Amino acid sequence: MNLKKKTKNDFVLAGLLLMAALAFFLFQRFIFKEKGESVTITQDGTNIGQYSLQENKTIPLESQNGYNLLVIEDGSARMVEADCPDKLCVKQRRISNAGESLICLPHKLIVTVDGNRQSKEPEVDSVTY
Amino acid sequence: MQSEVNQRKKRKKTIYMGLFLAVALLLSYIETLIPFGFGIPGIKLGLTNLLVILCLYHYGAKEALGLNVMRIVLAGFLFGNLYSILYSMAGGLCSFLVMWIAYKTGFLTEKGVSVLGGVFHNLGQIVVAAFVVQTPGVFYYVPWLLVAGVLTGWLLGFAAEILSPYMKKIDRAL
Repeated sequence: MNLKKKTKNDFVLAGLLLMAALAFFLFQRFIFKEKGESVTITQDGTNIGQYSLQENKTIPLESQNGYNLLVIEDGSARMVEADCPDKLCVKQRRISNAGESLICLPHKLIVTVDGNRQSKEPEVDSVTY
Repeated sequence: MQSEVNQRKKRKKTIYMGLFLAVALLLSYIETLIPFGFGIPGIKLGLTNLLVILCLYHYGAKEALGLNVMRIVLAGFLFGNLYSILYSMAGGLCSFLVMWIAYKTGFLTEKGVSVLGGVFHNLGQIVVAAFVVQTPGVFYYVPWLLVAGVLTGWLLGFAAEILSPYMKKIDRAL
């Protein structure tokens, strides 16, 4: 196969991947968009608490894995402190839409915004995200 | 006479593989200094993939895989922790497998191979993350991971194309 054809294939591949990303994104944002009502906190796969997004609150999360500080403010949640080395969860954007999550991998901690759809049938629907 | 030439070739390769590994580690460190990720988990610049691609094209699959694995383990111990090794390994092996297949089929240039590598690195990491934290919610960011993988992959593939002639020069020298 000559170089010209290969280069064309490169562009086709990149284009297809970008289109797939766009489709995925639109699907998520416009068809499934839903303001979240509450956040669920899970650690090691077990549910350790659910908090409403309507009231402002500061939630310290202490465990044998480490320490995180979650702040709920104006209908959205964000992580303001963590004692992990990379602090990726602190750098993440605030979350407010159903399905969005804050993830702290070293502490195996996940904060997910719940939506009506998800809380009713969590197993099936959350898989489509 | 023939064996002496072969030995020299082998020695040269050993030296260059060492250099590759050293540069890969350096790039891993530089990567920690560059803020790139836009607050989305799983997104990385993947600078070291440049070396993996060069290695794949110029020395072969075995060498590239070795470089990739050693780089991940060493960088993990130097700049990360056991978990970051786990994620990097998942991403690294997943992306390597796909790049190797793409390279073998010969349908793409370095750019296309590198794009696939970038995308599958991100996807591999997120799949492991979903298993570790037991939450499918991490897949929410898949579109961003795809876009980031395509962009970084394209740029690194482009860089690999530019560097390729110099690699050939190195091969001829000595």
